[in-house]
Amino acid sequence: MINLMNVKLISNEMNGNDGNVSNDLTGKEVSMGHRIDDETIEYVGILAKLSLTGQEKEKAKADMEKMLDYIDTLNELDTQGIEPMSHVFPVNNVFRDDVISNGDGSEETLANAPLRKNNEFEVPKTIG
Amino acid sequence: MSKQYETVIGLEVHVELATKTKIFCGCSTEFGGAPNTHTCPVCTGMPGSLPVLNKQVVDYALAIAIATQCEVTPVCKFDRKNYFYPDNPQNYQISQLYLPIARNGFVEIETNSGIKKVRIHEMHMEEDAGKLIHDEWDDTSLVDFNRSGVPLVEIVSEPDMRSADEVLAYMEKLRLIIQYLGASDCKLQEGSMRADVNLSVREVGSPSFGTRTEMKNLNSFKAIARAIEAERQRQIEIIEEGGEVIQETRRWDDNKEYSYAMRSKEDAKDYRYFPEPDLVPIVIGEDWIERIRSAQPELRTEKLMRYKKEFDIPEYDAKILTESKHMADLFEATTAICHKPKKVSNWLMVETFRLMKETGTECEELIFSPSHLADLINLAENKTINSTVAKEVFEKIFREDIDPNIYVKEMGLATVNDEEAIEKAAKQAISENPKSVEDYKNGKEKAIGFLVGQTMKTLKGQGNPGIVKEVLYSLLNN
Repeated sequence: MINLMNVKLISNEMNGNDGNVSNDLTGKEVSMGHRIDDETIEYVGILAKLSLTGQEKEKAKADMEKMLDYIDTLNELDTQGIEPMSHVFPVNNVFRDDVISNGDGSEETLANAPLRKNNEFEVPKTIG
Repeated sequence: MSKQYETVIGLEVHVELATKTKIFCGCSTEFGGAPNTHTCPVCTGMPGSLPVLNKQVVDYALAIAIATQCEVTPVCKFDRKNYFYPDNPQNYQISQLYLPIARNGFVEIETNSGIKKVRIHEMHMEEDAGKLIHDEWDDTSLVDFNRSGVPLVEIVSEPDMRSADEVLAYMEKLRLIIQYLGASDCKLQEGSMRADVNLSVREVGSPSFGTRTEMKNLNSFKAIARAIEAERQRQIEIIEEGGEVIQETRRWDDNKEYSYAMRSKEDAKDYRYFPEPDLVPIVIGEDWIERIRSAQPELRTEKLMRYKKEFDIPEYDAKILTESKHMADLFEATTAICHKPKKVSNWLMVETFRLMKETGTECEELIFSPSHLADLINLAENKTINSTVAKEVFEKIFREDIDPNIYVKEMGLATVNDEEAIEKAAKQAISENPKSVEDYKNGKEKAIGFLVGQTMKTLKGQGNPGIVKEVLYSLLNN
């Protein structure tokens, strides 16, 4: 439920604050009964660094279409004059003081490394 | 006749804040620790870990916002910027998109073409990424997450700059403001201040902007100036050949003085921003803003005006001295002890800067204490030591912060004022140099200089030069 509220929130704020961002996740015009085209699913795959098989693409398409349809359902609500919600809990200003409380965490951190070299994570060469 | 082009530049300046701990966890931000020693489940994005905002980050961000005339956002919050990269363990960066902490500010810059306002579009808080080290031989990269979660403020300007000169003046202005606030040390080489340059060109008079590129990896003021010139040329060439500039991110290689395309520039929607659910909103009331405003230290512009009123030193000196807060502090502390602003300014402007250049020392690395410089100035002023000796003693102060009173006594450097001793040395010089004496008597005034030198030599350079001369004149003329 929280996730869906966040999605709703995005469209509210995108409308309100950033003219460059259109109010759906793919940046395309939306209407009820969404169709996601091959190009869009390909692009979303690139952004997510996923290589999908044809079958997976079709499945993801169907999922995303359902999500967008649901957003349309939410959009049917009249939110005129309602302040955008900035968080689901009515809590503000939770802070910590600027005091060092953690020691050397390298062993614990590196315990999760699929590959490690000395005290560092080793990953395929990435520049840019 | 070839067309005239105008360069249009906007800057995204990232500043690493001078907090002791990271933005969302209690790990140290200290630079240079062994790899991954400053890490915990929060700053390495472990599932189930919860970030908690460091209050000092908001205080510093507010201080910068107020000093750059920004409007503070009364309710601001964080968003997740989603992208995949090995230096980003969470697969998102916690940043601010929809409600950044401040907007609509400006700073004034001064260049040869006069004073100009550069507007600030917005300023937001975010976390830094880890560091990738690329192996030359192996086809791998190594990741160190010590920097992951170090707090940053990103200051986004409007596209108000038109030349490399204006860009450098703008960055220098920001650097001085932020250093004076103590919010960051702003070292480009160490990466605590970084700038991405957004640049486009258009024909002079054109009402619309051209397509812009974003240049990254600019690690010095010189690199920024060179990259701007090269990118301007590159874009003009493309346009002249009838091509189109592509909106993309480019990486500057300062050794090759050349940039290459990294990736086509993502739009905001490609980052699939959404509100950060793990962090609650920040409500900033007038009282908080007032608390920061009233604690704001004197900034450089104000300091310059005060120096003009308070101290009788040249405006040029005042400008140079206040270019570093550390230097300005040193000047004021020393002056407060010896009450000789002009002398203090001279020692800093001449000998200190000379030795800094010689030893490659930065203002922030100076170790000598104001009281020792003040003591030295007093020793020179009351003629306990002569100017040559003073310079030698200062070098010791500069390098080792020695106490000049003790040093002068121990090394026996005090000026010889004792007329008897001087007369003895002068007589020796006269008897050993009959030729010079003859020259002098034959009207060659200059010959006295040599005799002064010889007398000083016997006195190990510590003779009071005025008395030495006087004694020589009286011996030679009688």
